[in-house]
Amino acid sequence: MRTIDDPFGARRRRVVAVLSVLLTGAAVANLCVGPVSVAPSEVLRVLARAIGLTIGDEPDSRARAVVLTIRMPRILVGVVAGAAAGITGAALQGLFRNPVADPHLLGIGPGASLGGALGSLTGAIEGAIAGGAVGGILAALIVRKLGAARAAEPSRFVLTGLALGAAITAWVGFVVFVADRTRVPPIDFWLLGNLGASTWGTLGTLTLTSGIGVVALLGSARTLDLLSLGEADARRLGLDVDMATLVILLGVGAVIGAAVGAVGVVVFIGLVIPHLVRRLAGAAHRGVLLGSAIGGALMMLLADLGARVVASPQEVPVGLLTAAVGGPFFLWLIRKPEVPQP
Amino acid sequence: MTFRLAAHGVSYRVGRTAILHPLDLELTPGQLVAVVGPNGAGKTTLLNLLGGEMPPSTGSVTIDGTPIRELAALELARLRALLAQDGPSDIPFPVAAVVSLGRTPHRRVAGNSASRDAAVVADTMEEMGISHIADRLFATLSSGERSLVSLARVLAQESPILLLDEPTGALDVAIEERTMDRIRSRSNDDRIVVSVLHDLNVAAKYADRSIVVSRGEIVADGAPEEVLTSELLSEVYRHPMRVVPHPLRPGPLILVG
Repeated sequence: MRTIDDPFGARRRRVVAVLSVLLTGAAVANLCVGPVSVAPSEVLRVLARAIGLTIGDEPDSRARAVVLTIRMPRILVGVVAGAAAGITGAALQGLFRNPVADPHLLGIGPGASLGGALGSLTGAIEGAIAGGAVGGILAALIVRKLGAARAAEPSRFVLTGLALGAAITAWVGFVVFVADRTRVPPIDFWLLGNLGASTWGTLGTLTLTSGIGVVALLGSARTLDLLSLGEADARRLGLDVDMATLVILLGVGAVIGAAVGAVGVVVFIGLVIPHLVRRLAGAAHRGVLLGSAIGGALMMLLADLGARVVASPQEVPVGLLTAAVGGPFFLWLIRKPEVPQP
Repeated sequence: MTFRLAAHGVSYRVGRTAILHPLDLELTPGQLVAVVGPNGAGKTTLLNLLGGEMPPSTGSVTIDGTPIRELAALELARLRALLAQDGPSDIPFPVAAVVSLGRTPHRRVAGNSASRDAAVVADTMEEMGISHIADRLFATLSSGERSLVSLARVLAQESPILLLDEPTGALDVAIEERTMDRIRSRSNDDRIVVSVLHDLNVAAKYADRSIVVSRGEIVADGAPEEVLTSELLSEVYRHPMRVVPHPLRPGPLILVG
């Protein structure tokens, strides 16, 4: 009985492999494309030298600086932040058995924005990321209270989160307009995101802050599968539902919070990607969580590529791209019932 | 001393409305116990209280002397399985995966293994006659098929206490008979099996003991042929009923007038 414990195993492996290849391709494209164009062969030479290998001629020093100092950290921050958006969307949809659950729709993203804006008053990216994580966690705990009646009415739950988010976002606005503009990023950063300020320091802090949460979420696949039976049957099978809910919400709050502190709110990744991954890889959460992380990273990189080229040499906020493409795509997705075949 | 599930002075009320008046009950292995009675009598509430779904308003339920509320969720899951009437119909997993979720309480338990889990799941699906739909998605099944899969999931839990709320409600007559046979075999298997049954004739045929619940009270408790009488049933259901000897086999036949 191959299918019993891992019914979607083959599909999961296929989807993860394909998404990984696409993600690598998107990363290379992001390394090459921009105001300064760098040829793929030059990128390869720069990267090879960075890890101590010598391939071909010495690369151009400007190309080296662009690739290693500017684009590489930006790409890696985009990968982590995109993965954060994808995996948290997948976890919330599973936890609340609600296909339109998403950290930003439920007010967790806005909470992280407020925390991030307050944290950036310190003038340090560490402050913004830590503040984002704290804000995300606090908002997630509020969502936990609101979610007490979640089984009853999924749409009401999301509306409650939207109202919570709108109210918190107003406070982000107050902070931004009152605070020192050299320290706190502008309001469009908090509403639509921007990867432009990413440095290696951003990457390090973001990875450290969200790491435990990502591991906790990846480890909750079986719990989320059990919750597919409904809360009551999950409890009857021995799950401590309250504890599991707390762990997952803390993980979601920390992970998306750190990402928002680093790059602002980038909408729609957490909605679109898990839907797509469930259709391709099946609904078992091992595949949904991992696939959504990789798929979220991919969507973030593609959107950032677009954000850098659509109005070149100007950059537009990355969230404009994810919303412009993700919104209609999401509408198309939810028109058809989600019935993946094993 | 045999394993037992007991209720001591257990009652349940919501606000000022008494759903179940204080009652005592003792259940032992080896019998199929049917809980019957009209709609709203408190059958499901009784079953849920026995399963530790919610704390009773008064009294306590004990498993082998241990109050059920002192058991952690996982300990309780290894002792009792409960099949409720309402569950989600849109579970996006194949049948085999749904049934294997029933093995969750046994994960990482000494003496259990993935291959044993797989064997139990396969055997249970075979027993319930659902092996041929093992790869179908639960969400695409008919309501009768879904109820067989949910029952299989609960049976795969292999708990010594089995509490079932109308397990055959959505099944056709032939499958209902076969399913009741399987459930009955579990009670012979030294388990405590309690099932709410709305069909009195099914209860009369399969149960060793019938508990009649009416308006939040146990009004009769005993062997079906003693308990299910014309007088009692007519009164409890407020509808004329007649109990006659079954023409095809020993036992009573309940006729609705």
